[in-house]
Amino acid sequence: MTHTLHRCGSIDSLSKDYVVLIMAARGINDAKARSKLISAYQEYLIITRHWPLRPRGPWRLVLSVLHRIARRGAPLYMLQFVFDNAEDLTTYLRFLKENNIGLSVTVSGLFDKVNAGLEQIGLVPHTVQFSLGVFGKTERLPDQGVLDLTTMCGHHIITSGLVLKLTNDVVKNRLTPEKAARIMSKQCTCGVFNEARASELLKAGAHR
Amino acid sequence: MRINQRKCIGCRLCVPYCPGLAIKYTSDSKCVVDEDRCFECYACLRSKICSEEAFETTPLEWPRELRHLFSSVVTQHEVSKIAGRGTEEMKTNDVTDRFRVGDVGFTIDVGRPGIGTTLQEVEKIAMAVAKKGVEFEPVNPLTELMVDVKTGKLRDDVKNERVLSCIIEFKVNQNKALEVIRALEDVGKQVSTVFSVGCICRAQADGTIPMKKIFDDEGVFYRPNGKTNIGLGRPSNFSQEVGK
Repeated sequence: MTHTLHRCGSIDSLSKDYVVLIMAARGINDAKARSKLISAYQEYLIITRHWPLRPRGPWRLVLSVLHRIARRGAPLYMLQFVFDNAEDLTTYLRFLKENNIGLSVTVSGLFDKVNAGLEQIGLVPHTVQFSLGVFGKTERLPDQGVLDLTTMCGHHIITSGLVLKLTNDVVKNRLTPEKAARIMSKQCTCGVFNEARASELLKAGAHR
Repeated sequence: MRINQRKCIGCRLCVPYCPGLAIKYTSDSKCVVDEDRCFECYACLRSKICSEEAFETTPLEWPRELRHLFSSVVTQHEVSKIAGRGTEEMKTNDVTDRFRVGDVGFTIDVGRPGIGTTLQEVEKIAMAVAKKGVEFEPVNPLTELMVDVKTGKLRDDVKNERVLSCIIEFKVNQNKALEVIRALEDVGKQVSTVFSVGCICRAQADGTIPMKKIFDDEGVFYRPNGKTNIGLGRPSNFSQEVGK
């Protein structure tokens, strides 16, 4: 589960891309995780201005996941959310701290921005994971512009071919960048694909 | 995975959705799945791109079922008890203490980003780092396929299977971390795929990361972004059991 670790991009672009993962440790603090996660989810919607719910917002995937799990009666032990700015991220982390979430919280994003936010709310990192980059036959990789998009789905279910096709559709005005980003996002089952950042990258790519 | 030839209308809309480049357009004006290339990730099926609902799963027997287990995002592994290819690793380290001060954890995502790999290639990397005396993560699904965790050797019957990616997880003492990184650089010249390397470090009480200085001093590249466990987790199940 390193699916949010190796996101590529420029510093400017990555400064609009953060993922928060809240996770219970199996057998250690998962007993009451469900109610805490649902509460954390509701606060995420409020802070990211998706509340009251909009008919086409990115909350739909998470909500459908919650409902599906609830119907099955299976335990809920993990949720993850995307933020497109550091200010909302810090506000959210402050909420989690002040409400004593008690579950593990991991933030993926620029270390400088994340650490600055932690300092504001009186926290320090407990454990970090660095990305040391890609080793091996790197000549097989697609262009950096494609990787900036595909690495936002850490399982790589969003393919290079799909990115190239949708970029071409945007260039030829068959799709808006927002619509193309949404099509990509639907492939990312984890819900960690950053649609807002993808739209920006597609606009920039279309101009090139 | 297969495409029902009676249903396929040859529109080719599904082709870019396949991470394995396994969907081919044939001279019969139909699309077919190249079984050898297919990761059994079911991305094509889940995309719902096919208006004719022509994608059909096929029964997966051992060892082919490994393709699905490692490549499908939503499949839960029996060993790790979580969906995905790895474990909780550093994400719950504030309550599990899996990585302590002085430990350095590694996650090697073989086949990532987006290239895929055979388990044969994975074995090459696992065996290269095993020589450095690493401790493989016992509940990782890949470790379960090793016949010897001292050497990193995998079962012979699984090596030809192709997966979109899988994760080799292990930890070493901090003083061996650089040796491991050099071994990864060396084995990287011998494999036909790519692998993304993650390095897990416990922070000191003031939040500083000793490995960061070592990376800087030794010229080890690391990205400006990564993952930070912010230490909010607390053990709670036990106190509930005893009625606190």
